[in-house]
Amino acid sequence: MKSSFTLFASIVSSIGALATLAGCTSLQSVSITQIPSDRSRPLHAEVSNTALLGIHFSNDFIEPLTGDLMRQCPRGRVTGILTKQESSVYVIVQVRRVVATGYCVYDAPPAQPSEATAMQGTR
Amino acid sequence: MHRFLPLFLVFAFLVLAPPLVGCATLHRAQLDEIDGQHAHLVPFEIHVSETGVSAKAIGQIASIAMKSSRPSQIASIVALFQFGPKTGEVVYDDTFADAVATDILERCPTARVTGLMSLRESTNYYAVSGEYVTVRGYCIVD
Repeated sequence: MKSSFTLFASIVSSIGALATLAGCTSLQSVSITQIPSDRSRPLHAEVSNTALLGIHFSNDFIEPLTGDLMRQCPRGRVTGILTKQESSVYVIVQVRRVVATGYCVYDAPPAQPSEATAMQGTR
Repeated sequence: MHRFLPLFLVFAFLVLAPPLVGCATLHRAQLDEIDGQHAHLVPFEIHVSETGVSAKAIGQIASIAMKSSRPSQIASIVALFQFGPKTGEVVYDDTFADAVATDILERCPTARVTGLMSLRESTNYYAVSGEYVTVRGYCIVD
């Protein structure tokens, strides 16, 4: 009887320890923009904010996200952006995280009109 | 007494800081496409807000002030009429964010915007809260 109780207690404590270490994660919001056909340059940017007992004093931690994506794609277009906002609780510490993944696309310059097309346009 | 002073200070900070400074919550974040192909991008930020009210917190305060559980019970009944999915506390005017689109056009008359980041956030001061919608982005001027 005692050994079965010990086994039960160890299983419960193991589950508790695993839950504490892994944290309880919740997904707050997800959004996505149009996905390009050229997906050869994937991008990833992430910002996070940690606070004791989930008491956060501002949401400014998200500000560098856009700039980070722009730096990874200079003079290009960032599209197919999947924005994911999640929150993890580790006993008394809460971590808020916003993850953005997308693709850097360099659009081909517009084709110059051929001479024949240009002549047709002037008639 | 001196032994418990650090613990007391930590406890006092945790209790007093959120109502005084405000506890910030980010409900939703959305990032739109970023077009960095243009030479001149002018950043802008639009921030609209409305005051939110927590019926439960007001009921608790009234119960403490009146030394009666009746206000808290009434607040619980009022809260039954406010159930359902929502972000932040309830507000008196839910159209406060409708002007965001026109505000963007005022800031960016060319109507060519990129890198829009839309945030739904709030700051709680126990019984009342600030309910915000923030939009940051870039205006293409070339």
